[in-house]
Amino acid sequence: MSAHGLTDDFLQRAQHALGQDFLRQAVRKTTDRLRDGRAQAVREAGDFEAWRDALSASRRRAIARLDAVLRVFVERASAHGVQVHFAADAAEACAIVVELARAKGARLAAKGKSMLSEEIELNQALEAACVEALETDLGEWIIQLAGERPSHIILPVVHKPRAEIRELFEQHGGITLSDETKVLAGYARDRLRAEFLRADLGITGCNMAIAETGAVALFSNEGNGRMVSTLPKTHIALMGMERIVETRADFVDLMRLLPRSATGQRITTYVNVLHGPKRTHELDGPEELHVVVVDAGRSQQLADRDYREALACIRCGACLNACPVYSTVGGHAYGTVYPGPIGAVIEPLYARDDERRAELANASTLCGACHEACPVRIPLHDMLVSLRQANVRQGRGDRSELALQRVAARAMAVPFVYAGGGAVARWFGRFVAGDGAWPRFVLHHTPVLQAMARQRVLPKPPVRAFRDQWADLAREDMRGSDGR
Amino acid sequence: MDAESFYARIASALGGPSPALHLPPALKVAAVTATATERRAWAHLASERLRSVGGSAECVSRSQLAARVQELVGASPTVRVADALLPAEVLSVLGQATACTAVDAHTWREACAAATWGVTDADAWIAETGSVLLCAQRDRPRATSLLPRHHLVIVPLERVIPSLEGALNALVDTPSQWLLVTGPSRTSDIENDLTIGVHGPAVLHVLVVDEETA
Repeated sequence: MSAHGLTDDFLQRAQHALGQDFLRQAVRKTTDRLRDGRAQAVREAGDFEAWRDALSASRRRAIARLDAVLRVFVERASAHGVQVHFAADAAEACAIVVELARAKGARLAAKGKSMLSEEIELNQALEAACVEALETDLGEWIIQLAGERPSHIILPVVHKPRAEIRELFEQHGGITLSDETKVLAGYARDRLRAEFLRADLGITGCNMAIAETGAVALFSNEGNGRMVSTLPKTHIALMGMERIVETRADFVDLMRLLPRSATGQRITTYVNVLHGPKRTHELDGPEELHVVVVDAGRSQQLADRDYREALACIRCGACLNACPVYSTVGGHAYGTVYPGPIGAVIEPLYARDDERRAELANASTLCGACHEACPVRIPLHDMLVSLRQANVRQGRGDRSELALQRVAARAMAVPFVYAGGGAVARWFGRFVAGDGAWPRFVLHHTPVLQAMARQRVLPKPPVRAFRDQWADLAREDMRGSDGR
Repeated sequence: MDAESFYARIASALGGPSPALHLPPALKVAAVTATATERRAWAHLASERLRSVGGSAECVSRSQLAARVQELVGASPTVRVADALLPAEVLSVLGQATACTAVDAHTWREACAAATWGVTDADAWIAETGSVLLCAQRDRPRATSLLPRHHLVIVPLERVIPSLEGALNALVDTPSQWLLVTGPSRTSDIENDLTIGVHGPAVLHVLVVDEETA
């Protein structure tokens, strides 16, 4: 690790992202658009802060007695004919779905957008069991055809130019298309329509469950989520164990905040709330509805008071759009399923021994914009600081920087040592850098500077320390008030 | 993992099992009472909000209704909800349409996949967002509003309500599915360029029937 605590891997991914003009502009444009949309929605909705307070409280309440809340959900959902399964980890979750697919003799699973499915790598598990897993959200389908990973949790394919999308579709269909959005979306509509009707299995995520009514809710704009939860005979919903509110009233707050925080919409085109499979006399709807409740690291996070609040997340992506780091490098630089500030917090918690995830706490400016944007007020920046502290305690980080920090900590505790040390540092700086830039050979061959300057521009050494200037200012201020 | 071990893991993470949660079974709340003038104001707001997301709506009198439906749907292949849910005069102009009560599940799906229009009523139309509330039931199958390219909603003025809370309270029992539809299907996945009509209907049109309108 270098002085900023990021490995060469991360830096290479970030450099790669920064080198691609389209990606850089597209990520910026997308995050700007979503952020403006959210700001507009906040201005229009006079009660926004009150809704935030209410949802922040209800999410935390549900998490604080999650076992009891889940019991109510399971009891009431079962009464509607929902079959609930529990998975301790990703492997178990995949095994449950694969086993259901086998039992149904399923050959094609049509999928709605689900980040949990990405997290547990369900598609790979299904393919290994000879079940075709087909993403049907337009963005996710493009990602699947390209063999990539989503780069944003709600707009997975922001990083791809339309010409590349056209090429993917042309290869897929063996036809010629134009670059127009309507033409490309129309191709997806036509191709996927047949698949919806043919699929044996529909798989979705779960934006939120409602304990009071035993319901599973799906928010979507395209309508593919409705297709896969209506047409196939069996519907499986994957649910992170924390994705639950207690009452319908809590759910109303969510309906108001999730779309506004994600895209600035008042509500998504579809809010689809399911209370079990089709009833006996109904003409359509799935014959079976299975809900797989997944832990996969969440109970570890729940046990840790410092990070428990992050389980209140509603996966809107507002923190990604607000983050100066995310909106500069995009999602792929993080190298994880969940990018951005929320990813930097939850990814290391899901797998605590993973060095690559641990470093993400450093991919942040700690500006707090994520906290301001978060509809449920998760103090993400505090958590990032705390994760950095944990990293240092566990000896992660650059040795020379850690040594420097230890020396600095001692020095700062004693005023005259601090002042003297500062004077020496300024003298050294002026000696080597003069009034201009630091010479390269100094940066490259001085141990501490070498690490610090790799991704940063070192400032010109000041002539006088701030604390000396401050003393002068204070004296002038005194004179000013004397003369009045 | 079995349910009890799963709960036990959560309980241990929380530092002990939580006391049982007593949530009263979902309460039925009285429907919103309001004057026709209030409902008209809500309908006006609902139309505005629906239009802002690419949907459309208009207010018609009982006497204009049949002609308007005829104009919109014409002779296009159409699927519709059961007789009981639509005004009688609409049924007469939708003579060619496939009613969900007249066919088996297989024929119904084929008819929906081939239809240009799906005609439904609605449990509520919500001013706050312009959303239409549809609860699945035998007389109102889900695919009516999903597979056809155009979705026509015919809703009486008495079912226009101000807010989302009202919609949740309007639910009778627990249907297998309840659904809010707010505008046509949309996506911005390709270069942030908004496109209408991806998987769901590309057109959502609401006819609100006001008995007193001349």
